[in-house]
Amino acid sequence: MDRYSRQTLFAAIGPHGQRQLSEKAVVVVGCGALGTVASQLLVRAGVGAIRIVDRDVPDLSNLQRQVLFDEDDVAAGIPKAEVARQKLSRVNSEVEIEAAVADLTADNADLLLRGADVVVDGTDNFLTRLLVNDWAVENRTPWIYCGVISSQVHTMAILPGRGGPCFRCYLGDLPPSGSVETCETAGVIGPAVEIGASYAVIEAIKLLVGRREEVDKRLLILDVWERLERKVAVPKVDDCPCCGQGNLEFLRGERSDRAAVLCGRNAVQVSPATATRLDLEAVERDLGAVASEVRRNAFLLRAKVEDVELTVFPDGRAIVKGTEDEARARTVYARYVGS
Amino acid sequence: MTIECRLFADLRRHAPPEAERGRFALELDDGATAGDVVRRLAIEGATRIVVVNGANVRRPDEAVLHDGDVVSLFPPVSGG
Repeated sequence: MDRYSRQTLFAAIGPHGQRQLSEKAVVVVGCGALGTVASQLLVRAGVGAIRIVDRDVPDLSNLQRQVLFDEDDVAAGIPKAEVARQKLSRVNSEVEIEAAVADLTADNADLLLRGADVVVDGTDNFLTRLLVNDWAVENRTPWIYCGVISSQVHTMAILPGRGGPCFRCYLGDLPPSGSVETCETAGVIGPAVEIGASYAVIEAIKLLVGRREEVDKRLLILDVWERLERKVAVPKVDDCPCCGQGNLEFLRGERSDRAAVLCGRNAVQVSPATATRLDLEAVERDLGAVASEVRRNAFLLRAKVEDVELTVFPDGRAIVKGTEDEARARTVYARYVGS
Repeated sequence: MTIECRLFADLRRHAPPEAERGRFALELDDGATAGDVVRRLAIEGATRIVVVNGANVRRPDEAVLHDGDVVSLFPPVSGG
């Protein structure tokens, strides 16, 4: 029996749609709560290829909602994208799965997003979404926005180059720091994530099986606790800096942070100012005298320094856990990794 | 006139303490608009979607309110 038989019996997909799906590539940006659910649905559905981009490692506080990770993964300290690749490869070996352990930035966006027929949003911040949006508008590639907080879901298919709004038409400029709450301050429940990512993936699958005309272009707002559902038509903004004026400032790297608080983690990620390649073995030697509990594997180095936990990746990024103070994180980075 | 204001997601932190699940009554001058509600709550930067009596309002400053109207305000959602 064909592994997709139940799916091809669904008339809107059918054998033809399944073939189309198997020839398509998806990039999932972010492999946290939304990204794990979305990746799993896409791999099980039989998309041809999927690249999973994530900068982080699993944490105990992730397990409540990030469905691909377990306690062993938290203990092992393997990056999320790599854990997802390993687990999903066992789910469906027919799918070409690539793990990209990286922070999506202006420098690598084209490299990491190129080839995508659809980009699916699994990120936890607007900066990365505006970067994805810039890239998608420039490359006329559809992407599916999805955000969740508390019991609320917002999701919208963005179809650049087809007369509709882009994400920036909806969001306007990047909201000022502190004006929008994060999962850290407002919390989030697992069902909201699963429902939100599922709605996002449905629109992605419509695009991938050639049912573009069935994609709902409205912003879908759900409150899964209150069972509220609302669909809002977002107008295209004629003088939108992105799709109206072609000012792709996020893609050009004119708007980027060196330090970013990670949603719900009591942690800050610090990125090097310029692309770099770290020798983790050398870092381990340097940290030996000043740090405790130093551990290193092929993907990262982790150590306790002062009152924080420092996780360093070969691309020069570091996650400073135990603080939400960006300046403090930069200080720790400068002190123990060097910048 | 009195309208009912409903705040969603993290906008609820801007609701008065007595509000339940972000719902509360708001006294407004006659002729007030949905835009006035947003300014009154000082959430201009944090509001993206304004809905009056179930209909999305694209220009809140032009949406004149009436007694008993329900104004729902939604922020952009960034978690994931």
